[in-house]
Amino acid sequence: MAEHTIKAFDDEIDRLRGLIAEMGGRAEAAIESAMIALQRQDLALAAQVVAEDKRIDAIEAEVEKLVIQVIALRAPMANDLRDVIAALKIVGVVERIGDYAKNIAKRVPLIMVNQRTLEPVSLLPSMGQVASEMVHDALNAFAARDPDLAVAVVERDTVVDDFYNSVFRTLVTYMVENPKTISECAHLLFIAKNIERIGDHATNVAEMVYYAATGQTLPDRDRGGAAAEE
Amino acid sequence: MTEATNPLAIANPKMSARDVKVFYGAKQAIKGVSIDVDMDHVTAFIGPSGCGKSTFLRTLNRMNDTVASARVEGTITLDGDDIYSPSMDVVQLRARVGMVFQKPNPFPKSIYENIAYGPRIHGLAHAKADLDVIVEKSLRRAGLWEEVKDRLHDSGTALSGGQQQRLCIGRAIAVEPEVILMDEPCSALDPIATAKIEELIHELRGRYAIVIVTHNMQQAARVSQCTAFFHLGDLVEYGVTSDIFTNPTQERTKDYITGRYG
Repeated sequence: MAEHTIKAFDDEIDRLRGLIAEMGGRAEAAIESAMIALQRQDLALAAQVVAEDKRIDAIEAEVEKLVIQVIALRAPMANDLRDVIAALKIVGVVERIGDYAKNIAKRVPLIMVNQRTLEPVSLLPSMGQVASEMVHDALNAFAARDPDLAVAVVERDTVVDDFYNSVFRTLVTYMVENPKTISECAHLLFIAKNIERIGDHATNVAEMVYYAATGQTLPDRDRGGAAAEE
Repeated sequence: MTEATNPLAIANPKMSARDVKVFYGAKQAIKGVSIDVDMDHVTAFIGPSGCGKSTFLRTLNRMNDTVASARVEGTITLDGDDIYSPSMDVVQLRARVGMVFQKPNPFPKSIYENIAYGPRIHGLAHAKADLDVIVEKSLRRAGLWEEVKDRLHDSGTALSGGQQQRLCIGRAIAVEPEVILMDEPCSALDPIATAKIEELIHELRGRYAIVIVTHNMQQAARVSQCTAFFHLGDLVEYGVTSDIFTNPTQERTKDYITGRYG
């Protein structure tokens, strides 16, 4: 894309995009670490995920400040305006994604209490993997202003929803058969729900990226949704 | 009627230009512009210096007639009548299609006379009582009445720049025009005087077809419903203002309004 006549404007846009790339990377890493902590029952790693969420929150605040400054001082127009507004909305969503990862990490010690291998735990990492890849691709789509990649993210949301429905059924069955595990299973169910929400949020980011890149809103598509919940 | 010519699908355009070309001697300044404007919408012309926006504006009331080397091709109609037809009375045309310029240019006469002059020479009123009514009505519409009603016989040139510009708008309004052309009407004014003119434009919308040329894109965004982007004599894009400023379809429009090298 051609440069602005006023170079400082480009510098600010670059900084904005850099912050969002960092934030996205951190959110993605938080999801992955939280899932590893869950699998390996690694308390230290879980605590680290919780602690590092503060940096994600700080980036959100920094981006908000910068966006307000750019709007006030540069009066961005057209694709610049869409970019800046998308940036503002995206950081709000990525911050929520970070919170879900943190919430997963916080549940790790509670599940560790009872060291039994629950079958659903084996499904969750793959589910987390898909969700974190969606976050990764949604933010890559923003960085590259790539509407096709954004569409691909939106389409992948059904995979996460299917995972969720499957985990939900498995856990309910497990709880019926093993009432003593209800507490742990409930935590696992929340974790699955958190991952499902991360997928939804990544989808929202992708929709914002699509609008910023094209100026058009993505046509509503018939999404699967989490049937067990709705 | 294409969308590019008439983005709001105006059913009864006040003025229509079709394939208008303007030449200054051998140099072509306007390369085939088609556009419709009506009374319900303010139209803004934007574009870099030398893009032809002012030249095109001036074709709408034949101000280019005063430039010896200027030649206009294509058709421009006012209520369906060709304004370049030999039977068109140019003086009458300029009363129907008024103009406000970049620098306020009141006559070196009283405020009252600035307004009364046009109606008098156009024979709209002769009796003092009738002129008084026109002067008050015009100054009210121009948003100036309250500020000058007690000094109508002071010189118009003694007013502030913003007041002078509103006086010029009042002067244009006094002859009951149908279209008002404004060529950068605020570029010599401070932000407060500018805001008053913009508010005035907003109030005048619906009563007159208003076309404004501006270098200030924020102003175009604030006052207009339709925006036309000119570049190198082409009408690059004519669209609904909110679309032009959020999602222009043409690369050249985008580069211009986002402040990139074109």
